[in-house]
Amino acid sequence: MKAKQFKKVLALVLALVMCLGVLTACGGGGGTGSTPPANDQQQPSGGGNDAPPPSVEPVDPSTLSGFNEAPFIASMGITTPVEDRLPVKDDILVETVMANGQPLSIGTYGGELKRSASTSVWTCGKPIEEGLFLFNSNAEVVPNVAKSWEISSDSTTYTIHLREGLKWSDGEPFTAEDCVWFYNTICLNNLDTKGVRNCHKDANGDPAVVEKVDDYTFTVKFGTPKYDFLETCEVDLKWHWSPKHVLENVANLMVEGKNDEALAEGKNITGMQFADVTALGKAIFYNFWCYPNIPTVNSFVISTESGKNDINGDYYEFIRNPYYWKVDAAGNQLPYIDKIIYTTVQNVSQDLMLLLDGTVDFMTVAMESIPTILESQTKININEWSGVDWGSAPHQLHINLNIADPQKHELYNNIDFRHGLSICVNRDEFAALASDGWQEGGQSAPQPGTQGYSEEWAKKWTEYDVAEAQRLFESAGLVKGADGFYTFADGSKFEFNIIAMADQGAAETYKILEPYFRAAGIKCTFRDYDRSYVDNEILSGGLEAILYPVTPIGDISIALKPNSMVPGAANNVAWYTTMTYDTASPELKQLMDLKSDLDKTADPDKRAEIAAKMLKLHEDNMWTLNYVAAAPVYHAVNARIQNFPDGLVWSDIYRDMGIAHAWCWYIQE
Amino acid sequence: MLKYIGKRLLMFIPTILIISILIFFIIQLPPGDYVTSYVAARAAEGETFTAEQIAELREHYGLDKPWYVQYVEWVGGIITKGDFGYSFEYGRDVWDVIMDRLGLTLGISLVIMIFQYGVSLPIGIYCANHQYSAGDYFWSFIGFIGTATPNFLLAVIVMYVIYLNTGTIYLGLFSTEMLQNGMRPEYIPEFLKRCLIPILVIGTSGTCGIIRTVRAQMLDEQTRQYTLTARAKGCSEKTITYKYCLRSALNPVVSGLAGALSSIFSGSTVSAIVMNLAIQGPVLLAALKSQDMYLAGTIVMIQAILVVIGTLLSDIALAWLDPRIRFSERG
Repeated sequence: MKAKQFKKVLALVLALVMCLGVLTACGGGGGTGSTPPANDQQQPSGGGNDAPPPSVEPVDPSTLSGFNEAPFIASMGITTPVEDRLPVKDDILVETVMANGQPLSIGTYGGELKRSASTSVWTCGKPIEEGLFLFNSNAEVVPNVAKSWEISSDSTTYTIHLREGLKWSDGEPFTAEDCVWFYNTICLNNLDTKGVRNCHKDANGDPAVVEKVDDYTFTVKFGTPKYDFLETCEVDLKWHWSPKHVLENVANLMVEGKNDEALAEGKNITGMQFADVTALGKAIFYNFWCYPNIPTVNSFVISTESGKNDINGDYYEFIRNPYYWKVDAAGNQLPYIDKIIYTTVQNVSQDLMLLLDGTVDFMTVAMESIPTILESQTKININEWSGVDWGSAPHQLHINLNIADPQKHELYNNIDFRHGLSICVNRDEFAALASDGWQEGGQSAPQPGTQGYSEEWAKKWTEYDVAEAQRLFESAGLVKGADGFYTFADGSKFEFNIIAMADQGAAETYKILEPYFRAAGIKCTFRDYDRSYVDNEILSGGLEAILYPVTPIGDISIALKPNSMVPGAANNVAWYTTMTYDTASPELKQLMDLKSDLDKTADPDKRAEIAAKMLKLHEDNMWTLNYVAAAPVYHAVNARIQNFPDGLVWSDIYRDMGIAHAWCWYIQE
Repeated sequence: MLKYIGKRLLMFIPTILIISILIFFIIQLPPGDYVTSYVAARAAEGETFTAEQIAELREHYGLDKPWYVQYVEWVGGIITKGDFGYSFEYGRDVWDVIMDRLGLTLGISLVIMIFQYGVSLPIGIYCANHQYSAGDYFWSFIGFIGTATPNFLLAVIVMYVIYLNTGTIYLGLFSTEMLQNGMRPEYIPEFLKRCLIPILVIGTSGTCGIIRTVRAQMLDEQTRQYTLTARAKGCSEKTITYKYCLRSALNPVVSGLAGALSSIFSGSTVSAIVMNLAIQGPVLLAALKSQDMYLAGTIVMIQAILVVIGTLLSDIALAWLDPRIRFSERG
């Protein structure tokens, strides 16, 4: 009953959003800088927003008559006029639209954005992260810190142009030297523990050569053609800099192996004690935004005040960067909000309570929490985004196709077995039970609005048919034993052993799933384990099957981030675990071959074609299974927060909340 | 007496060593290690690691060595340098992490303990003196409820009721303003309000045990011959109750102090998580979950040491309190 009422409310809200969208709709969005190269995406778009974005003319910064700054700047002791803190006029980035193409409202200055936080560096990092480039919501690279770029005809040299006059948050000039030094000193010497990223490696795995041309230009040269540097740089690296004027000394000490002196210097800069140089390097060169006194070009910078500057503490805050280089269409220097404040909670479930009483301004919430939120005394808006997981992540079933046991290896790689497992479950009943009626049956397939979606795939193998499932099991080589359960052809016992991470709800899912498998003649076992055990099982390839895998399958683009979709691309994916080319089935070899073709292909159309073929292979083979369609990603946002975009896609490639461009948000009480 | 204490202190060293080995061994028991959980947690947020990077991390943290080598290095560091190791999760020295929360933990735990004894001793005495009266039933009922209801549930109920009535959720001891601006006189009323919830919630759990013990002991003592003699000689009821009976009745309560020392150090865990108290308990739980073993090991070891010290202290206190124990020791 409650679910029905909620669905009605949701339908009304969606209808209202659509009407508003239609009222303001027409034309396409704008952007600055040079035209980005065409890429191989099938233009994924946001989930809940089908209305074309209204036309917003890009604003030429040179036409702006003047610039304004936040009153808070004066309290920071900054006396330099705003014009002198911004880049040269032509190179200022003017924000006019949200990532979904909707126009931005001109905001008002001031206020604090309140968040609760675990001690995660990424929770506070992603929303304010600046990359050399950024993705728009069509997964196209757009200018950001780099204002433009050129690619040589053979795709071996990328020339990147930076914004002239852009400054670090301490007011020092940000130049090509910072970008070149970062690569040559930090990456090549692995001082940040991440070393040379894939985006900087050519087809032979050799590192690129990064050179300074002038103060605002640098080049990245590869030994072999590199077709996707811009995209992979945004995926693998994001930033391409480090403040040389602050960190040069400590980096040199680390390179020279003077560890004690490097640690002392690190403490001198940040005021924090690091246990060793590895921890120091990762902190100041990789998770730099979390450490005080390390300048950034982000919109907000962590406080330098003791008691407010430790992300492991109970309270910390990020303060506006007075040298931020983006303005709105009226010439107001961004961000609008003065501070992002974080109050640490011991348990993530407390976030919801804090959201309800207005102590926290926004968070991602589960569908079931929405009625509670709508009833709260604080006015909270629900924004619907799409996810990228194939079907509902908690209901994904990954079977290890690289299992060591030869009999099981053969069985699990047999498409009929997987087909049987898929259709022996009554999806509607299962989904209703497993999600308390919130979600519908589905399959492990891309969500509507994301790359590769087709209705056919979303419905593939979803017809409930036990007799057919049994026929398929037999065709896969199983034989029904006297007790009604299938055995291997040689009569040896077959048990389908599923595991899961404890406390994720998979045990309940299994209780609903198991009777279907049992009825079809598949004997299952289930155990849930502590996360570290599950991770070990995946890393060692010992796992057999998992419900709610640690890394669910699905992402914005199989080309940009193949981790969950192509064997060998990551080490924490349950369906292929430790698989290599040699241990892969012929179909999976095809998938891996296509991936290497993709790495060697320049032509955007051909790349799109290859990506489509890779997805088709997934559709044909259904290497992973799912029984429930994905739920949208819901963000509960306090109504006082303005310019929060609706209908985007929640993805790490888009830096999760990063694509919501928090520097454009403002507060209206 | 001194010999007795000396002997106990000597026993201290092997006990602690054995405990530390056990702790280290048990913390190592679950599969995986800190690197596994670290990589998994970061991977969930999109950070990627190559197999080489994972191996490097493991080598860097010394997790590639057998557990006994890690143990010897850890204990060696403690004995020779007073270095309790390094918390992987916090990226800082274990001792600093513990010290960060020690003040608040001790403060809260002590206040809660004072509350428990302050409330339950008078109630226990009252119940014994008014056996089977309405008051006796009432307080026993309240005490039982306090013990029977899990603290975390009570905490949630109390917080929910307050939220319904005020629209504010009192989560944690400090409001955002307090954390932002530091403690100011005008914040004290709100701070006290915030303190009241954990004190009531955690405090009530221990009261019942003490009430029942004191009540039973007092009833027992009241029928003893020395009490009857005192009463026959015309001693006032007040003197009988407080000077004679209560003194004997306190023995089991004082023995209970042995464990109290350790719980004062760590504070409660589950309730602290529910009420968002930044004390030691949640740190320990998180450290155990992420296999941040030097941090977890140090906290558990300090707890164990405190139990040993607590036992010693309570024995000494008992000897001081009860002449019979002193005399039997001499004999």
